[in-house]
Amino acid sequence: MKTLIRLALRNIFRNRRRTLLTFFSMIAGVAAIIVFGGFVEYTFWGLRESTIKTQLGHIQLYAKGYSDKGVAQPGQYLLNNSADIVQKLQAKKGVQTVTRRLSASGLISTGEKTISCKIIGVEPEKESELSSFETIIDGMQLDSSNAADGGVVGAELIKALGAKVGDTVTILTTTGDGMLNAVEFKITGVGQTGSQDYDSVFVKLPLSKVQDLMGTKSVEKVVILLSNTDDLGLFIPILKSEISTHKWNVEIKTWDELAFFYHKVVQVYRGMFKVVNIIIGIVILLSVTNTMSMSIFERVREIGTLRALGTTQSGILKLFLMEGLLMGIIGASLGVVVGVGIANAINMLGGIYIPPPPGMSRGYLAFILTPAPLLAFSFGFMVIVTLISSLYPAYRASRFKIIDALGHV
Amino acid sequence: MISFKHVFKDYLLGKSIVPALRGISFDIESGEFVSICGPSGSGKSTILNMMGALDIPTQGDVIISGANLVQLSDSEQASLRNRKIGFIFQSFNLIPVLNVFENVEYPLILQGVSPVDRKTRVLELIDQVGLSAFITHRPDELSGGQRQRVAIARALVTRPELILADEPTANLDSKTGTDILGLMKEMNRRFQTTFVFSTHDPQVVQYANRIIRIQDGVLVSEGDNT
Repeated sequence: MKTLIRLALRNIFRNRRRTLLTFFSMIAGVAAIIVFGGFVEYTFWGLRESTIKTQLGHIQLYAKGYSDKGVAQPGQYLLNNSADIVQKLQAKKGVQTVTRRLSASGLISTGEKTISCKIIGVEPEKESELSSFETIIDGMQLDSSNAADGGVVGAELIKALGAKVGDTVTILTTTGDGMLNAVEFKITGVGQTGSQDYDSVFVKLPLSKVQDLMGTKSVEKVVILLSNTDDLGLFIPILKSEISTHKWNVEIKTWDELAFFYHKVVQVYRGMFKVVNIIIGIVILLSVTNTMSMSIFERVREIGTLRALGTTQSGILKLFLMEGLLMGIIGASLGVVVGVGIANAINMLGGIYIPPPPGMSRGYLAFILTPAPLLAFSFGFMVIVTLISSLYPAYRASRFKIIDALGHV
Repeated sequence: MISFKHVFKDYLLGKSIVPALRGISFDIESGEFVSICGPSGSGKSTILNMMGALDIPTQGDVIISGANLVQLSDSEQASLRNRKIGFIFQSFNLIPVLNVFENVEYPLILQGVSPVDRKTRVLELIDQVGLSAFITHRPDELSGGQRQRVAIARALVTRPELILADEPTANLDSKTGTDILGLMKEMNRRFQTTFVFSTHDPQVVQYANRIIRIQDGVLVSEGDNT
């Protein structure tokens, strides 16, 4: 094996210019996979965290049956014991905050203009924590100082209303008994979540105000925000055990069961990533196959000599596959170093500005993440492609007739 | 050691069949120093190729060290070449990326000889061909004569029963050619290895103890060199 590796390494660097050119294409390929893959990873991370920290939290608890019948009969599927749930879960390890929400469809009116909206009752003192990715583009976030008569309105909605911070508007909705009810509040802030659809409808009011409006003391859901999204898998069993211990009659929904837009974006980007990988793979495949074929053509007589000295057909096959494998390992390693270098350079220069994607209300600065699985994938992908590229040339070399090979000029 | 029995060999050139050997029979005993001579295209290289298990006859039997060539698989032929036969080529055919030591060592690696034994045997052979000062040199840093000496050391290092040399002096000047033939003869005497070499040079033929003359694929004469 040592001799095989030594011989293969020396053969690789025999024609340095050609090998360097092949390495350049491999390095470019790996670096492209890392930079594009890192951009995709950042986009997923950004969209995930923004979805969690503007609307959904990590986990939502509803009254049992809410997901099947709650849309038709929201009043029948509210949580009555939410304070107890909040108190018990807030103390759990890994939990950043637990808050309650009550939402309803309604109308918002300035007197001159009336538009349908989604009223969301939130706990003001916890709102800045749960909605940390929401940008307040004007005024201030809902908190205990302005909770008495204030509310936050979505950026697109306030535009459509023609209102501004400080204006008093009226909210109209139906109570659980089907009666109409209205309340006035002062717009204290304008929020932007990034999702154009959501920003066109949401109105955030203190939970107590929305409960009064709807004539209930209950809440629609309890929202749990964890300190770290990666801990979700660990927290779910703990939560289930709590539910079982306290016999809470609730159902669990995790953020990814509710983040439909996120999943659509992930699907599209993953598809694009696959196409990019296939294109890079084909370019590398052709490049390495060409290099290996030229190398074999130049070494026909040498292959004949090795065979004459007693090297078997499989010995020749192994030699050329080893050359392919080592080329893959060297090229991919250099590619990873260059790819990580480019990613770091982009990040240090402040990222790349990406204009608002479809369905989003704002653009963002994209950074390039370089997580270990992405680096391992790009490395492994390149090594495998290189090995596959050397299969046919190696097979051909092993099948040369010895006397023809020895007589090759 | 070697037995050719009514050996025919045809080559396909385009759509026509070209006969290279036409019913050749002869035997070579262990320890002989034999020359196969004849003009270009007479069939010398074809005979050497079969003796070296590099090619098989179209018809007839070629028996090397008791093994009938046509009955051996590819890996058995490779093993026969590695263990019992050494090759000296007209163009030296050294591996360009390996130095002198590594070129001579290569057949022993294929045999699975231990590194310690390899080192002893390789250094001994390199010393015997007079290249001890060049062990780390690559082939492109050596003269033609030096390269052929490396090839001789490589051929002898496995202590084969048979060494085949196809026109071993054709690419060398006459003085170096004479030195190489002298060295081959010396090795033949010292190790009792059978040497068979092909040539069309009458000067070179004189070194052989026995001469097999071939013309147009037919054995014209064979006998001791007197």
